[in-house]
Amino acid sequence: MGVWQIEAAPVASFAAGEGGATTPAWHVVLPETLAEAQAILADRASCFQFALADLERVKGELESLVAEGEIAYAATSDKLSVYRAELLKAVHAAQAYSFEQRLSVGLLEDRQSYAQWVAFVEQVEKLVGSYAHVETVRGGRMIGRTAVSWMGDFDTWWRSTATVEERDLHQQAVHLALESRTALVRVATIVVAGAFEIAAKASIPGAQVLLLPAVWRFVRDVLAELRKSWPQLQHGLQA
Amino acid sequence: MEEYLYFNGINGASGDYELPPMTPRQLAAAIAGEEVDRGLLNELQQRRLAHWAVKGGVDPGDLAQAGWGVIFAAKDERVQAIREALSELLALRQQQAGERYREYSGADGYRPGDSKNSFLARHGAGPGPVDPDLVPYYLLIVGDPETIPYRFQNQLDVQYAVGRICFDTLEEYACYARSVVEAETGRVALPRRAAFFGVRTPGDRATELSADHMVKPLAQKMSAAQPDWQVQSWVGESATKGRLNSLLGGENAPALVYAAGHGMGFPNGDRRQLPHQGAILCQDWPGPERHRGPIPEDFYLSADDIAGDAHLLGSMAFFFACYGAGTPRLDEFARRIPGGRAEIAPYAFVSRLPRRLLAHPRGGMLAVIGHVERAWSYSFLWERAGEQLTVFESTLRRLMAGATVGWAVEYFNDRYAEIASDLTVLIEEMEFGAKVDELTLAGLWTANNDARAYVIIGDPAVRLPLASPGEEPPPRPEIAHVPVLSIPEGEAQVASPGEARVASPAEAAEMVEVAFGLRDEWESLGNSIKKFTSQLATALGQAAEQIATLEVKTYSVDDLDAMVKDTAGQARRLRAYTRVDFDGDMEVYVPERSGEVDQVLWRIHADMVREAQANRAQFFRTMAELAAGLLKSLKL
Repeated sequence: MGVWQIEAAPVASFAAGEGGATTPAWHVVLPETLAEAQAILADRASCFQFALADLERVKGELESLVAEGEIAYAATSDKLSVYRAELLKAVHAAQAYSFEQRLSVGLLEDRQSYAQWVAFVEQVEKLVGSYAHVETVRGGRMIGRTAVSWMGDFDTWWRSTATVEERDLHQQAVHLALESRTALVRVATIVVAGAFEIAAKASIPGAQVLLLPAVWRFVRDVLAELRKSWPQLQHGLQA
Repeated sequence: MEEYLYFNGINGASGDYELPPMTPRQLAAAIAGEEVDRGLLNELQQRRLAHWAVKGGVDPGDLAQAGWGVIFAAKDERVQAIREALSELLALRQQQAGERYREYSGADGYRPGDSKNSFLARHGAGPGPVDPDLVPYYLLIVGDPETIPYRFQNQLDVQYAVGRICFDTLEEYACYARSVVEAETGRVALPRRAAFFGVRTPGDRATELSADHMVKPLAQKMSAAQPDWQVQSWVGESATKGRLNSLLGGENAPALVYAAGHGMGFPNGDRRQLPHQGAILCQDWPGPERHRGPIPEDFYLSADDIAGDAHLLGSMAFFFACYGAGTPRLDEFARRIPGGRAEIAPYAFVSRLPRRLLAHPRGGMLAVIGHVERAWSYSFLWERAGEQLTVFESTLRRLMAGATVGWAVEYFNDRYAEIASDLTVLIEEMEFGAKVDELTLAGLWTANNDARAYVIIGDPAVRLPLASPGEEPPPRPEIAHVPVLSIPEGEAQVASPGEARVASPAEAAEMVEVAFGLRDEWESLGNSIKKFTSQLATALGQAAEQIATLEVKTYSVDDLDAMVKDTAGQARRLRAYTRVDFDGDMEVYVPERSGEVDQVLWRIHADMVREAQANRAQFFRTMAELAAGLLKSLKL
């Protein structure tokens, strides 16, 4: 979702009772000035809401694509239509491969997406497979650190001199980090469900696996396109 | 009395030599069963006659002419992420090499079982001088030696300038990439200082020979030949672990470090093998007579000893030590020796020390030249001819003159080509019944293995970033923290709608070429999805069993930064605790301050409890949706 700077996550384990790794997964660095720190978090929360809305939009795009079925390769300047046409081309390529064992240009072009999808799945595995660590730093000093186990248990360490305002900052950071993590899983869910629905609609046995990279590319490209329309906020984000 | 051959390498678990000294007769008997690779023989003989590297008219120091390429394994699923982490370096090389820049990945990458010739043939190149229009002269292998074997690297290295990087994390790849870019874009200018470090342990013939016949004379020769350089040497008593540690990252660490001594070896499966094999045994070791049993870590310098604040950016090192660069899985030499092991490691690996030096988070070395497998005294001593340092001397001269490391080590490749062709002819003659002098055979064989096994860990196109002679360079900088975004943001490949393209002849050929690769990839993708789904389903099942309670703890700590860094003495006070049972029971410990409830902390703790409850519900609902989708998908 690009809302946070994500540091290296430990290897996925899905172990419920596992001890926490020390490497933080979510690292929130805020300036010393309280108002500015609050504004940054508020901006990030706004962006996250935009991102969630975009996720619903892309899910809707996939659903309408499945509902409408074949679409014409009509020339259009609408970027989203271009991405839909690309996805349909991949569907055609998968059909050709599944029924005729024939390779086509479309499938060759999906090979890069394949690697990117695999990398994305690995990232999801890592982020959800073990402790989520959230660290909030203000003015160079860590004010709060929360470890959330796979089972959802919380351990929070506060700097003993942290002010009420600083504690609020960390609580917001924890909330946004965990929501972001869940949203990342949601992206994977949308891709998997989309590939399944399209494969079923196109009656291509086994093609859901073939289509995963293409659907992933579609979701990624549409999200990137939609992100361009976000309003310019005072505290810009790393997208 | 027969002469003995000495091998470097100390077994850290037993304290004995990795290989005992042996006579040429014993070694010759072990070699007699060696197989001859006739294809390689022909090539090596040709190389010996023609002294090939790049074709005529190409300046090997100019990447625009010589070209630069990166080789990934065809089936390495991490390629995209690693490529992303290396993007700064790749962009720089692309800019420098222009149209002679290549990326070999996917079906174009190294395929399992590829030989040098099969790989090159796929890309239009055959044996002979390097034509950078076909395949670049500089080739960086990215990946572990189990996936892209050392044998492929060694073969390719005969004609091309080849290096390898292999790290555990994306951050390490990104740090290395940034270090090279910083060094090559003018931010780093190192003083012209070189250090020669030679262990010389009394009673240990191997280090006595390497100190007296390699390190000392090399330091003298370099000092005389390079007046612009300050050459210092630490040999014998001064070659301690502490000294080597300061040379490899101390405040005034030199630009170039040459170190010779025993490399640490460990039995296959020993807990110290992966982290410490190839570490440098220093003068702290009292020697084979005065120390018995396992070698303690105090005696050798390993990756663990390289400090977090080490000053390494821009430097290079040359380690003459067993396993200094890496270890193969199979030991073909020992296989032919009675009692020898067939497998010397669980898998082939790059030694931890050079990896740590290259990927240091504050900026790393640019390259380490070292040895895969064991290093031999025949490398610098030759039958009846005595001390032979020309190859080492020539390589060091080029490095100190600012040549690329890949070009500098070509002398080793020439030497390998020469010795290997002589050796294989000799073995062929033995097969036809010729009587061969055992000492000659043993010498050629050890020298052949030794010369072949020198490798570059790092980009072969790097060169020392040196200050001008007489210039007072600025302090060595550090690299900025390298954030690694885990989500790859590849360029969208958007084609015009309605463009029902017909494959071009080249694309059609590529389709046939990659057909097997695609099927493998999809099969692999299906398997990885199945594995992920299975793990997820299992974990959700376990979660259902353990979800009966939710615990929320709140602590306070005086210095949270120190606690995270795990420095000692940080008291962690549990201030509030809540356990929520599914049946509605709740166990609560509230925080106190001066005998009363600490209302501020209690409010925050209560907020955290609510957050935990909401997060758990939402997270498991989403994970369950994903698992259901995956399961449904796999059933179709």
